[in-house]
Amino acid sequence: MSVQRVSTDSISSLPDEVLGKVLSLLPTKQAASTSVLSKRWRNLLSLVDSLDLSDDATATGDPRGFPDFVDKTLALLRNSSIIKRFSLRCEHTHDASRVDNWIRTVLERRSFSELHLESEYIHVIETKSFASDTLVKMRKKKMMMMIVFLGLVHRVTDRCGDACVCVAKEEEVCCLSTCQVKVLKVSGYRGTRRELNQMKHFLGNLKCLETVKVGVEVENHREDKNVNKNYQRITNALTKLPIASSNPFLLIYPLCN
Amino acid sequence: MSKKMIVLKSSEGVSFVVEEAVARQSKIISFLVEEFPDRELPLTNMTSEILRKTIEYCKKHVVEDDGGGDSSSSSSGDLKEWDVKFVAEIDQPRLMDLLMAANYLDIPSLLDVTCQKVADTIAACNDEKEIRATFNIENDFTEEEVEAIRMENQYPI
Repeated sequence: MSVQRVSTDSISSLPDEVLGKVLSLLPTKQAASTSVLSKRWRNLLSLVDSLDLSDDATATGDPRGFPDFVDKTLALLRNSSIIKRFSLRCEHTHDASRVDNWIRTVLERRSFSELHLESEYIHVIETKSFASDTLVKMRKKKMMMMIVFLGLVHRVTDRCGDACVCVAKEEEVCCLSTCQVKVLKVSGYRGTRRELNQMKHFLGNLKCLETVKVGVEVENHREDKNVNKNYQRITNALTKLPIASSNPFLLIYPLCN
Repeated sequence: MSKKMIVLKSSEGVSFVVEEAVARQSKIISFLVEEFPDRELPLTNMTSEILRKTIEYCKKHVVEDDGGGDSSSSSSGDLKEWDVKFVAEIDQPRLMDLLMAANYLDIPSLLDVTCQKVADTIAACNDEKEIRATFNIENDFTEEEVEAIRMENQYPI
């Protein structure tokens, strides 16, 4: 006979770090909402090591409140030294300096290793913060290992600049030269001149790159010769770029719409 | 060549004879067998049922280092699939026991899959009432407190 043990609340008796691990696997908004479960769950969000933030309305409600939620969450994690991964997906436009500030805030964490940025409508991905004093500081700490971009440049307006601000200021020492990123993934790459410049900037300056993966957006009808030609052109342009690190694994692959 | 075996004893006193390589996926056991070779290891807070499950997992995940070539017993894709099935077949209370065992014995990959399953279960719930019901969490807040926290969690607009 099997005994039903439905009356025990074993999940709440798990140690803090295990509950933190479970909450780290949830979208941050959902993890935050567990604080209402019981007193045991009231203040567990500060234990997560991964933030998965999305302003997608279905996931989080009104996107206008999103920046405040991110601010609040990061304030809560102010003293956390365990944040490893930060994923930010924006479908809506937010104040660029605020977004920049979020990225800077997480990059300052000692254990930080993975940054995912996905934005259709965000302004410039102001990656000043990948660099400058933050990264110089980071150099002494454990390194950020991976950056993932879904879409390198802003598609909606032409207002955006380059993903990294030093592209425009060539006379300055490049902010990325001290960056220890090992993995760079870019998807939704369309091979525009601006994107190519950005890739040139990354490949030419990131000295520790071991793996570069670029997903190139191609139209769906493969039989079209022009499409193939276009893909070839994009691939060729990418493979010709000078690379700062020695022998990274460069993978370019087509992404169908 | 005979493989080195060790004995793990459950809370009910049932002995399980396990290949050392299998058991060593637990960092705790790995440490203990070095400190106390030739001893049987009592795991007093693990039932036979959960210990059996844990060993089943470890057997599947053991990487045999003799042989060479394709030394892993399964490809990583198959293994992932196996893991998913493994945790899917376990009911809620036993999943929690297994998670605690993984935590206690320090078996990182088993802790990962069990935590993932718990997270998936939470994610699949529609609201906090359902989460409480699923995990038997007693709500020890007053209604006013719940309301206050909920307001806090709301996006300010």
